[in-house]
Amino acid sequence: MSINIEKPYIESEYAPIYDPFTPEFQADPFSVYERLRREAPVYYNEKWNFYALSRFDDVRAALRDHETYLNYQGVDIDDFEQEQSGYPGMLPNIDNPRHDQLRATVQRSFMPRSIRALTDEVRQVCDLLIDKFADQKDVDISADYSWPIPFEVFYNFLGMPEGDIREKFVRWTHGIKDRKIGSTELTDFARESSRELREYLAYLLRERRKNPRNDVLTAIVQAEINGVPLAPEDIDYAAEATGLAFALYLGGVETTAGTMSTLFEQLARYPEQQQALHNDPMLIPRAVEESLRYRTIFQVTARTTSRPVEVDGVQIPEGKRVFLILGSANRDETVFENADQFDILRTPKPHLGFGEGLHGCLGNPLARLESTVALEQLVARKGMFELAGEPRRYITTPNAYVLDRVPVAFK
Amino acid sequence: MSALATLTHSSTVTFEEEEREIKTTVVARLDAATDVVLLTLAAADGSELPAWRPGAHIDVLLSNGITRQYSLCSDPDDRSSYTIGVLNAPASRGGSRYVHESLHVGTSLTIRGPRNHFELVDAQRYVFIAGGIGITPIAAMLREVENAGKPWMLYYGGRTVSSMALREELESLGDRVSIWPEDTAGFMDLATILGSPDEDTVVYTCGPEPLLAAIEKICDARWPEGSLHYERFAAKAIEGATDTAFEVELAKSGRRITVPADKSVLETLGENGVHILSSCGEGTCGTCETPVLEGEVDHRDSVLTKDEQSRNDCMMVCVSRSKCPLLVLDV
Repeated sequence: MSINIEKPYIESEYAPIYDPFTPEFQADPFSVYERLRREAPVYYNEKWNFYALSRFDDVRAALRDHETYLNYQGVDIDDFEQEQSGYPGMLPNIDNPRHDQLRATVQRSFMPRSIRALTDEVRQVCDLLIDKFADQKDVDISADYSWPIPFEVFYNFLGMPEGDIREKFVRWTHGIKDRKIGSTELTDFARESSRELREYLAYLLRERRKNPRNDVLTAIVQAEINGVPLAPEDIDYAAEATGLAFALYLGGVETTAGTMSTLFEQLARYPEQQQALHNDPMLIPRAVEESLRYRTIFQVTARTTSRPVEVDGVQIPEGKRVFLILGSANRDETVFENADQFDILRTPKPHLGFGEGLHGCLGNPLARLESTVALEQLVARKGMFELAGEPRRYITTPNAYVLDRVPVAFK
Repeated sequence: MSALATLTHSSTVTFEEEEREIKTTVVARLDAATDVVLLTLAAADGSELPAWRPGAHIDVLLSNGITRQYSLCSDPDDRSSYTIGVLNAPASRGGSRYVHESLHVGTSLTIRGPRNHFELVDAQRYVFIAGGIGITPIAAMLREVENAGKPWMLYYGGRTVSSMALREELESLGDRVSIWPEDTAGFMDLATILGSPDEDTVVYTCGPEPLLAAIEKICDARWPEGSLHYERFAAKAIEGATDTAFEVELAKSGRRITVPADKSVLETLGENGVHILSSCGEGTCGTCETPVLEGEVDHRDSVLTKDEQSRNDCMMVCVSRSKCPLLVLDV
């Protein structure tokens, strides 16, 4: 079944089923997705002039068809990406051939075999954080655990000194996402933060050129593509190499913090599932996968059609924005039984929590490692916990569903 | 004994290190026939391109790890640009399709070469037989032979008239050109075309495998040794149309599963309820790395180093296959 996109809407009566820019939608996206999958699997939103795919198979096929669905107009659905797209190097927004060339310069740093080497370091990060709340009953498991972990891992990754700069880094991170709810526009504060963060990354790259290390920034600064150095003589905030480092950072902090926050929030609601983990810690990786599926952090990723394409009998013209709703695909009841239920014991199946295809998440092994080790240490060192207050949504791009407050009480 | 004088250019590896890469820009793109585009490439810095002779091809570096070879079909005396013809083959694993979808006037493109494994030898007379996109090297040869004033014939077969690139241009050369669209004229009558073996005539052919096999058979039986010169579609050799089925054994359960020729290990395992984490699906991200206990892997990823590949202790199951009938995976 599909909607008739030819049918003219009467403006005054037009109430979009799926309008991701409204607080109403953001409060309950999943019932909207359910309706989209059932009634309008190829949905056209007249108000914002975009199409949306919501079924698992359709979303997956589009992710894999990187010749029809291009990224050059950005993957974010509001203007955050347009803002970033002014600069080169933003991997998620780059089509081939440049995408593969750029990605290849950092790919090896993110291979599972490279990431596995960070296991002990991540465990140490988790332990130090647990030390701080080891004797407390009430803990904000998002703000005090889930969020600091990717920051700490990233400080190490970037070789960032202790002190002031780390606080600035945290401010920039939140700053670049600053926006007013219900608006598609970024604030001036967001633009400034973005610029400052880029300046800092450019500085780090210049440092690595002088003092190379065995890390990803050094890989970027030393990279050559077809014999041409990726980084220019004078690396500034607008350089392609800086953009690449910026993209890695954007992909690595909020998303991982969000994944862990969701994981702990859901476990707090299901004591029997927590108990299962205590009984059998081998289930931990499955719990991580389930939280990725259940409330995918990057709920939607956008593309632009390079040619007309037919999906489920509906023609999408060339040059249209198409939103691929990963968060809906991962709740598709034709693929996942009892899809709306968080269930770490469900039969493992591939999900689209990290996308797939050309732009499939580069950092997925690191996100998986951090989440797995974080849960392992929590299970090993602390007891059962339950929700002790309302979780809070983080203010970020409307693409994402991230929590930044999850108050829990340990028993 | 085989009458083959020239083999395919499957052994290009040895040349690659000496060749420099050239940055070019697509300066013209022409839809030459159904599913065929002609792309004209000029050096990005406007300089002269390296000299070449008819039969030469270039490597086109489409994106990381994807290299395709295309014959040059322009005029060798014009060093300002190269022209290649590209068929959007239905069986393409993405190379040709990528060219069709993504390369437009103004697109930058890195190439290597040219190199020539299909050189035009000096002879009294020439018979050219081209199948489909195989016309591209032959077209460059015709021009040279014509300029040299040597007698020649061209037999050019294709699926339909509209699928045959350069047809009109060639037809204007007169009755030495014989066009054979399958849908109206049937297959080329090779027995007649090659019916008069002659010591002073050489046969040049480029086209799909069945055509080459048929020509080879006739020439082997009746033509003097060394008469036949042929070139297979490079894309075919490179794109590995000859995938075969093999078995994988899952060491942890002892299960054996057959991986069919047209499915990846990743897909096959998934269908059998064994889900391996994967992401890119094209051998570039390393997510689906799977330990290998026994067997020799046909590595097709572009993320492991040559050393890592040669250890044979792991594989990217989204693209890599097996060089032997059984692989034992630590799964």
